[in-house]
Amino acid sequence: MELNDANLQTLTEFLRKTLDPDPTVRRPAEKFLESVEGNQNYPLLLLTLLEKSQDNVIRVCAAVTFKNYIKRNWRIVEDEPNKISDPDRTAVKANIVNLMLSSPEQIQKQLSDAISIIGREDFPQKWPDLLTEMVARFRSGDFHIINGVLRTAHSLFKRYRHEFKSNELWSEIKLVLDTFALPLTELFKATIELCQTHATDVNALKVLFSSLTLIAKLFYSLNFQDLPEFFEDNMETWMTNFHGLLTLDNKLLQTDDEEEAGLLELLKSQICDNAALYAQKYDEEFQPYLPRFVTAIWNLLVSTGQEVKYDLLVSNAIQFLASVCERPHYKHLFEDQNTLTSICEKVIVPNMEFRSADEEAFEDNSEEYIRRDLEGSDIDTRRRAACDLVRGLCKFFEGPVTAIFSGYVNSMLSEYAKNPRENWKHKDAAIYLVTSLASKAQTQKHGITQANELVNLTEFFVNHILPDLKSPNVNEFPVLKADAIKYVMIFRSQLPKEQLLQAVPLLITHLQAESTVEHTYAAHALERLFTMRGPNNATLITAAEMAPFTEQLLNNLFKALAFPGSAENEYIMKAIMRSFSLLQESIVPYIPTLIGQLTHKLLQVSKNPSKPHFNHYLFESLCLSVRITCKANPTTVSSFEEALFPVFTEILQNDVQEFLPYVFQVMSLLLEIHSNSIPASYMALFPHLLQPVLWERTGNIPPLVRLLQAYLEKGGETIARSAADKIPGLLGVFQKLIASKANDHQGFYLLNSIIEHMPPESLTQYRKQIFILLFQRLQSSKTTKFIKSFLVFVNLYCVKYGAIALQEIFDSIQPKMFGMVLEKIVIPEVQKVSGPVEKKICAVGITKVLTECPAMMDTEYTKLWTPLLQALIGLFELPEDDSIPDDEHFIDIEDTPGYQTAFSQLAFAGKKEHDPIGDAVGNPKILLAQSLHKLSTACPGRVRFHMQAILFFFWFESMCLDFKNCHFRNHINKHCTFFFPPLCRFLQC
Amino acid sequence: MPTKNVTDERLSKFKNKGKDPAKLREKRITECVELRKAHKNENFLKRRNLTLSSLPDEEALSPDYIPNELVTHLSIEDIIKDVNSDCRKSQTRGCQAARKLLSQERNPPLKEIIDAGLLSNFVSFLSMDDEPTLQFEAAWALTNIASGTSWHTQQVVEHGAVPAFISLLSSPMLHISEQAVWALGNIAGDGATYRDVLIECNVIPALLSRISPDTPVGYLRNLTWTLSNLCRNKNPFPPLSAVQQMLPSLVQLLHLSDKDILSDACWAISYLSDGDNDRIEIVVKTGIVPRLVELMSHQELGVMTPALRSIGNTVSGSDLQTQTAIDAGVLNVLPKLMRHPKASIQKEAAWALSNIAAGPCKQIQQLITCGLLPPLVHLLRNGDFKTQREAVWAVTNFTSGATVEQVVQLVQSGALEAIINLLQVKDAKVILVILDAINNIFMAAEKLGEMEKLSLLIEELGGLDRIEILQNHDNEMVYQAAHNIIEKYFSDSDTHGEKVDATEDEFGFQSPDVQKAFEF
Repeated sequence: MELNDANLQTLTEFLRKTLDPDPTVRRPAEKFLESVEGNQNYPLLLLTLLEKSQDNVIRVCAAVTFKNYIKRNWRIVEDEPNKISDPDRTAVKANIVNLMLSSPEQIQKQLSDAISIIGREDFPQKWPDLLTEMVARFRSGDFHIINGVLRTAHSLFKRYRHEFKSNELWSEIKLVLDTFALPLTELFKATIELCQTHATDVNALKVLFSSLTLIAKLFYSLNFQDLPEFFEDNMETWMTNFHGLLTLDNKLLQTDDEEEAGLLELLKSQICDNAALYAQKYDEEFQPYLPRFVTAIWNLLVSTGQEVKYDLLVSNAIQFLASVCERPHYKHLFEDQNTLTSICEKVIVPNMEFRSADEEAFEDNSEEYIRRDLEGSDIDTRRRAACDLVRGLCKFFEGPVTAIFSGYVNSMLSEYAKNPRENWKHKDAAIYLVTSLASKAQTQKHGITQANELVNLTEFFVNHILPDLKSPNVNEFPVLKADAIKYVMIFRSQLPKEQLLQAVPLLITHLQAESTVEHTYAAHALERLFTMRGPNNATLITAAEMAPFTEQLLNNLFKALAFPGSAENEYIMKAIMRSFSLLQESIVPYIPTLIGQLTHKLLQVSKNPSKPHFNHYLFESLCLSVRITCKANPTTVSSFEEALFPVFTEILQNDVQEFLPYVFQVMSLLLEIHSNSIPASYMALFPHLLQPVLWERTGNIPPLVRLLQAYLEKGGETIARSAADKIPGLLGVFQKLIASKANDHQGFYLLNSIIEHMPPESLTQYRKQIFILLFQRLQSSKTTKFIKSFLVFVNLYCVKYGAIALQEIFDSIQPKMFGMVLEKIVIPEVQKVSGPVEKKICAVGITKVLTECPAMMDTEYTKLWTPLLQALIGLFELPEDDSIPDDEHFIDIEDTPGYQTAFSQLAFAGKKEHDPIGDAVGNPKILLAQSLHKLSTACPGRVRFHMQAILFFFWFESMCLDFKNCHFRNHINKHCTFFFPPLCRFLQC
Repeated sequence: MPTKNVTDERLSKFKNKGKDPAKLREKRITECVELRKAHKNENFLKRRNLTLSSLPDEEALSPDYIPNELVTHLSIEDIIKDVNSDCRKSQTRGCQAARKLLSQERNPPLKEIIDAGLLSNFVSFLSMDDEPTLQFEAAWALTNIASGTSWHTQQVVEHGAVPAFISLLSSPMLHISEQAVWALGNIAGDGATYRDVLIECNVIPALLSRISPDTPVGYLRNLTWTLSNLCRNKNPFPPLSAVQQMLPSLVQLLHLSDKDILSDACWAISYLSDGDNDRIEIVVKTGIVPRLVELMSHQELGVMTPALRSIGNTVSGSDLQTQTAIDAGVLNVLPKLMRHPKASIQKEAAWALSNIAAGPCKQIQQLITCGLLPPLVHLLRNGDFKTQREAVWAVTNFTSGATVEQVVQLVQSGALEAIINLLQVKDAKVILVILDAINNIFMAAEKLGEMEKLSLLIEELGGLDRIEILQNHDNEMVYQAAHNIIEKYFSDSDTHGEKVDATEDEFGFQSPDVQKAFEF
């Protein structure tokens, strides 16, 4: 591409087209540009356009295109072709700095970004004169140019703030310091002088202050990794001037804007960061300056207003004080009673006040308010910073601080008492203060877990919280009501039970409040109280204690869902779920109404699912309704099916993807309640469940597998009889799942159910194929998870079809296969099998192989007999996993192991663990002993087996000592004495 | 039959597997670019002789001796003239005047003297055994020139001063020999190159032969300092043969009581031990470790600092070398040093501890038994930033090698809370190291089945908030590590499916023909 007018013209045309709103024009133009960007001179054409085009739009467009081009192509990736020719690279680097500095701001920013991208690759080695070229511009005196340089430098250096220390990085920083630190310092001093000269010229000041802010940012980057010698030597200059700027207040620079931070705020904010950096990392060197900064920052806080535009500055400033006051050698700066009082009074209390912005959020943006206030997304807020300062001060001065605040709390409360209507915000601040003072540790699950012992939480509850909760008009002072509810919620672990019980009916009443925040808090508080644990790990508040309020609770919860803005309120839905779970059978009388309301809700939200948590709790509530009702009377399952299937059908037909996993789980739950036979309505759906499209979505896999398992359990016979043509499709699902490392265990769940419940003859033709698939997977990518599942399956097969059948099918696939699997897989790996049922299956299966498989007795497999027995004993000797899973009542959505956007496991659709062997074998150890005994009597000539058997008996006897009721011991003793009296004697001594 | 706990199999494996324990140990082997001012604690590389140190009294009575106050301040021109004259007396006068100029407190005219071409004269004076005063003044002048920058030292060496000084070592006049010791110290202190030049010229036997029970303390001080410079500098290290020659004498010197001798001898040991395990081994084999541990409690900072550094280097070595220091009682000394008022001592002590914590669980147990956890937590809370950084390393190393019970003790000692507070430091590496420790603690909790308890504890301590904020960190690795912890321990993980061919309605069930025999 020549650098000529024709090409410039063409490029202009295409650039213009890339701005076209019509994609049929825009896309081809974008494609074209991409197709020519590999040509030499392309970047130079863009630079020419952005410099010389008559059309300003084209200039900016060329600048943006240039930057993106650089971003995509500048980096030279190893083993890939160099995408920009060397002459172009050299030309770009030679011109870009000049061009950037002489361009208007919009273009300057793009070029500045481009420089930093290039700099990241080329600086310093391949672009040695960049810095000197930039530094030379400091002397231009033109602050438009200077700010361009500073901005570029900032984008080049800011990575020093987050990269790891390395020789390479530090060499670069050293080089930068050598060329840049002194001119930057000179510029800093000169700029400050200019600020004084131009103290009355607002336009000049604006430019100068943006320079100062950039300089302060550069200072931060250059000082981040370690304290450079230059800055240590020039600390006086920098810190004195920073200090001066912190205390500066120029009326001309104050903005009228309430929201957006002005230049002065941005600069001071950055200085606070710089001071905090030095205080944290270069404590020893910074010590002489620190007290001055503490005073300046504190005065700054005292004199800064409540407007939102100061928020960042104020929270940075408070965080600075908070980090300093916890350090032991600075505690003297704070310990004076007057200082503490002044900090409490002038810094903490004002920043805890409820501001008009908070009030607006409370009323009009309740979701945001709740997120900040309840869920802790308030990192940068003043209240949070003030809280952190309280906590920091309490480290050394808990007593005095508590005493000072108690005074404030009392005076604020009495202000409130004088005129509640005018002064309600004082009470809000008082409650907030008490909360931040009292809470030392907190979790979402338990609320405040450690409290300041100097604060009497119960007394405050009785005197100041309870009256608000009891006030008959729930809509009066909604902020204070919300505060009171929140108080109960977060201090729930600290308050005595009788007070919580006192609060429960009041909270129920507050569900009727019009304020979204208020009724949401009430629902949340109830939900949290219901999950508290009492003695014996049961719930603290019992269903019996709730009996008098049951009806009102259920009523009010559903009524709250009718408030505008709360139609899909997840807190309320969660409270509904938790209430069902707590109240259990006492909700049965209300179920007809409740299920109607829930299905109605479901129908509504399925049109456009938008609140995943709400929807999740809705399905949980449905499951609870089913379980609780059918537990008492399983025949009612059909009425649930009547109510739910129409909605489910709609969801399935409309393919509401978010809901399918839920629907499958609820259907599994319903089907599992049926005794034995499978209703026709389910069978009609069966072929559809095998559709590949459903299985392509990962979230569907676990619930669909479970649903198919339920089908097999209830209708294995029916499927074999009336849907035998679907068996390949069913096995196809198994094959699909087994191929995936993530889903193979699901494939085994399905396969195990097939083996367990399908009539054997219906599978005869597929069996060999099944094993071949498993062997192939074993051969190609064996994982521990796969092996564990494989072992369980093989042993289940052995239990179901017999050891001989197992050995025969293995050996029919490949000679000696059975021995290889025993030797390479079963014997070395069986101890990895976990779970009581899984271990039992393996134990019974292996026992059968040991004692019922002739091939183990007199072929070359015989040598595996002893190792296999040892492996089995090893399996028995493994410690039992005795951890009891948490009661589902307490489970939170965050804790459910399967919770994710794709698959949302319902805790209350939970499935009981299924034991395919069941009572047929109570204790597999006894089975083993009996089977060995049988074997030894059946084959008396084989002494070796006796030997093994008897050794085993001894081991087993020692196990039996633990069992009180073991008839078997005598039996074994007799046996041993009979066979091997000498051995017995030997072992006894 | 749902199989639970199928995910994250690898977590149940022993946590330290695959981790190279040597990597946990932070060594000083790599030469690092420094942004800071040079270390203030270390001893001087080169020293100028400003005052007369061990000038014998009779010297003042010597006929040539001109008392200080009587030396007229000659101009450089006069000096040049005097030195170049044939008259011994003028030469002595010129030389002495030059020496005076070079000994002035501020801006000694090193370059002017060199530019005046006087160095060759001075070097030639060194061999004039019959003119001890001239010899002495020349040695002194050259000593001070060699104390300048590398360029200055280079001029002295290039004028052939090295062999001349080495032969002066055997001068019967103690003060002349001492001046030679000093000059050689300055030359050795310039760097590895001149150090090795001196060693090549057999400076070591010549120096060591001057050590005897009768050698005056002042002389021994200078000699020890020169030896320490001969041990100094890496890339390359001093030749092993030279080290072997010096070590017995250094060990001998370390048993003296003079604090300056002890200090320089300790520095020498610290340089020798600042290397790979083979270098450390040479030091350990001398049996000096117990004495060094003893000197860590010396009341003089100048002795304590290099002794601590030497032991710090020792414990950065193999487990066995570390055990030598433990057996010598280092764990009983460290708590005191960790509470020392000087931040630099705290830092060095924490560094040493971090390397002991990188050892096997048996050593970690000794660390616990000797009560090192409380001072460690104290430093995590109250140390300055550099000390905190070392203390954080100690925690992370500890959690990598410790048994589950030991990790529990660590958490109970308050270390978890302390490192969580440090998640807000402005240093990406430290944050990453802390996240690593938290991860390790989680692995221990998993073995105990206490994952949930730990998650709650971390949340209570404000750790969850901090880790969540770190998911916005600009450093990719920090972001990733924080994200992984949140994913793994504070929420749930995703599973991914794989694709298998199928028709519209259902999957096909078919297996391809068996191509080759199964072999597991």
